[in-house]
Amino acid sequence: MPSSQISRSLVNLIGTLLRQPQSAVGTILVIFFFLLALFGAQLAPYPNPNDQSHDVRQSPTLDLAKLQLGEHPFGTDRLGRDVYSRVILGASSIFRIAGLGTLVSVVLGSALGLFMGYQGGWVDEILGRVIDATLAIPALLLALVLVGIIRNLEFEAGSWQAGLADNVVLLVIAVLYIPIVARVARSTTLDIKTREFVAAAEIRGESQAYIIFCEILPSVIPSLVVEASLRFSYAIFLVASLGFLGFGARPPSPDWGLMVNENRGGFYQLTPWALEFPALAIALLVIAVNLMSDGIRRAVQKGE
Amino acid sequence: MIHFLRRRFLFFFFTYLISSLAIFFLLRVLPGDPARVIAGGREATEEQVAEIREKLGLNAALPEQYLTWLGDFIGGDWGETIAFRGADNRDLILERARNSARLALVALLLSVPVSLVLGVIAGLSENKLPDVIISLLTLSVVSLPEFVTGLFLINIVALRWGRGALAESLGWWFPASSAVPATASFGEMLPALWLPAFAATLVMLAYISRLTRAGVIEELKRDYVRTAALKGIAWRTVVWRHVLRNALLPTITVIAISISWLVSGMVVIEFVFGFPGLGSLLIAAIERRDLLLVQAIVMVTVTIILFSNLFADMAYALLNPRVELS
Repeated sequence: MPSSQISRSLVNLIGTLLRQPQSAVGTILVIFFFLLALFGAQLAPYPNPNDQSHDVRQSPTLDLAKLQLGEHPFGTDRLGRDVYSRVILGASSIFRIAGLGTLVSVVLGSALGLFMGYQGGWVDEILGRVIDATLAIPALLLALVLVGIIRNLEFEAGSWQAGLADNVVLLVIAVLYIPIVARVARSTTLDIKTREFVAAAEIRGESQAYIIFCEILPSVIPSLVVEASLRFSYAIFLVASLGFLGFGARPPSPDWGLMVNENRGGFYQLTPWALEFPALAIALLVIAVNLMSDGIRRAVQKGE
Repeated sequence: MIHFLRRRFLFFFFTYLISSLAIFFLLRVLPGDPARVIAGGREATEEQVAEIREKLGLNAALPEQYLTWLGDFIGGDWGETIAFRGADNRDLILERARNSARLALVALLLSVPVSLVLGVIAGLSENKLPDVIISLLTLSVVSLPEFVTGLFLINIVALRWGRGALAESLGWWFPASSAVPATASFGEMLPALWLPAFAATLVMLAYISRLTRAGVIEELKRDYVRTAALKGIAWRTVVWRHVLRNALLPTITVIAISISWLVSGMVVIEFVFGFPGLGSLLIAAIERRDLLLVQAIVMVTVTIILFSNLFADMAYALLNPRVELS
């Protein structure tokens, strides 16, 4: 497929999304958060998430006067860090982890699914059953176990590499979603491979790789786009939940889920805004991504 | 029907085999020495490692190890915990699983009737005002992570309203924390169960009501509904006698599927509310690096989910004689 055709269908898709009020709200919000993720470091008043704007030892309890608009729009947390800056800076990690995790799982999962669907036979049968079986384990449970095990590995090696915890979640998302994407790609491939143009390519004597990637893949892409947007919304949900449970980013990081966890309990009475704003950001982003992926599903189904 | 059930049984055993293999090997394929990881990493002495190695039978061949482990699990020997000294994995897990089951029971009792009613109302008024309101409500609730709704309930309902006039006049209000003793009886636990159960209800509500809505809409389009209406049977009777009876049948399966959602949601909800259930035990076990306990918890959970799916299939097959045709 030439690149002009891809960009044209992308423009078409965005146009369809913006025409319906629900998906338009979702798409605009997602784009807004995406821009925050890209340019957060330039937009945040305190580009270093761990800058303490005032010495907490001198004024341990924060009074509402500190909440003046301009200085600290979202107040500061109990350590005197600007919540507004931290919420802005937190956007990039959730987009990076959920986005890259989804990308890896979609690329590898669709390759696996295309291969299974085209190949058929006992390979497909066994892999298909294994995929069904792994889907019986709840995703969060599997994610927690994987994170727990990978953390043990890192403990064993005795090396604490910066940012490794973030990549653990990315890896877990990819591992969890590869079978799910593969199942979708496989079922679509089963349908496509009975078409005449596939038979024609086979008669021409094209290679298996050519048939899979040049003949079948373009027809599978619409259902992959739908699945990718759905996976992305679940990935955002999972990153936030793992961060909240303390299995995602590590403490000084401005991760939204982690910020919610750090400021709950007794601290909530002291600095409610330090919990409410990151929680609001998570809720808004999750709802927005859901509305957008719902819109993408409807747009693609209508186009078929 | 026999054929259908045989296929479901085969799937059950195959899935159980695959997931137990996965759970077993996730622990065994650790680079380095699993016995050392279990003993506590680099601080463990050689004797401790050797002792654990002996106890776990790590000197045997892998397939033999797997079979021994699976046999022990099915026989009820789930090992000892390292994180919670002096306790047996089985006692600990069964106690916590009982607590989680109580929470799940209250959550199901709250969520199933409410979501069925909402789903039926939405389905009967497709694309009209009630449907739009219910759809928007369920869509926004399903989107929210459990910990956001859980914290919202704690902060608004328990803490803010708990100091209000209503709570004062009642003399009782929902506690902000559900950290009750793990050994408490159901009656003692009940006051602490309402809020986490309500948070779990919100998770289930959206799934069950959306699927019920779809079932009702599909059923309303059938020919027999039109025939019954044209025969002059009151619309109310058509809906009650025919549509709902057929539309609600698949809901049994839906509830079984949502048990898997409920398990995931309950891990987070139990953590948020500090409730002593299986989910919070899992998190504690991972934090304390007690991999044997983690392994046992996941096996128990998978067993529960697979059995509930199997029972749902059987119930569905018994209630719906058409199953054998498909």
